[in-house]
Amino acid sequence: MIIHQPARLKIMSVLMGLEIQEQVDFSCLKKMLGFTDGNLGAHLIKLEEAEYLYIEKTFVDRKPRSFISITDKGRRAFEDYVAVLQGIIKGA
Amino acid sequence: MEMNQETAAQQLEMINEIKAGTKRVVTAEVTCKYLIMWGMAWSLGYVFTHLYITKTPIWFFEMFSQAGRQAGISIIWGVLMGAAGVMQWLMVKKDLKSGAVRPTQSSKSSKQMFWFWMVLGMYSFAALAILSPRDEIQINSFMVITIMFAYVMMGIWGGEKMMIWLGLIITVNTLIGYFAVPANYYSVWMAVMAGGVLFGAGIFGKIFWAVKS
Repeated sequence: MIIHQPARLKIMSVLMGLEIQEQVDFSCLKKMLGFTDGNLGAHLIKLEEAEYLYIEKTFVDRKPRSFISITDKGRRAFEDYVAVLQGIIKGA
Repeated sequence: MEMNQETAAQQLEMINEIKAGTKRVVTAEVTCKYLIMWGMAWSLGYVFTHLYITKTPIWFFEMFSQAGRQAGISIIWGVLMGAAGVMQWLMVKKDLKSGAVRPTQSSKSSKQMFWFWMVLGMYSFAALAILSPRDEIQINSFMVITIMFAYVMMGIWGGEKMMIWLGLIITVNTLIGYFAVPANYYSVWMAVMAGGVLFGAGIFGKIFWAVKS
């Protein structure tokens, strides 16, 4: 399972807190979670490889920017994981 | 996956905290600047209205009658709301391009919100045209309460609790202004208790909820 790792779970939780089709800027995500560039980048690559999120790389005013959004597959995986947690709490 | 009930509960609590925190950040990064701008526009509108009504010489109103007086108020609000509308459009354009949290052009909720405001606008103008209220305070209170209803709906759809609270608080303040505040001071009351509340909420969000660099 990809998202049980605490840092990746935090990233997915932020993305789930957004509206559907909303994107968050890499630096904003980094500040929200208190991660370093390298740490966040590494976890984002893992999640992108699993097709749980989509990274849009673009240029704004000639500066590179990355915007991250969750995919339907990522949303389903997160909901499944939350269901597992709820099951454990209920003692299932 | 090995996990006990305590760890699962902790993880679930962390998830809920992060999701709630994300909503606050979105409010701070996206919504608060609009609240600050509209709060300023409303406060200025009410202050100018108060000054126009209380400081304009009597002969001016006698010369132009009641319709002239109302036209003056409409010009004040028309200019201010028009300027704020243009500002909002520019800010939305900037957010779509480079906002820290940006909606995509095709976002379902943005379209839903746009049409909701359109329908609400048409409904308010139709209601005002049919009922034809002559009292400026009555017209203004109706408009404010209608807009605040939209704030509550936006808060419910977008999961932004601040918008729900703002809608409710300003509705109550407007009703107090309409029923309990002397007519001469209605604009001053609304400048502080409607425009001021919007402005204050925007500043509050920016200070306490925005991501720190």
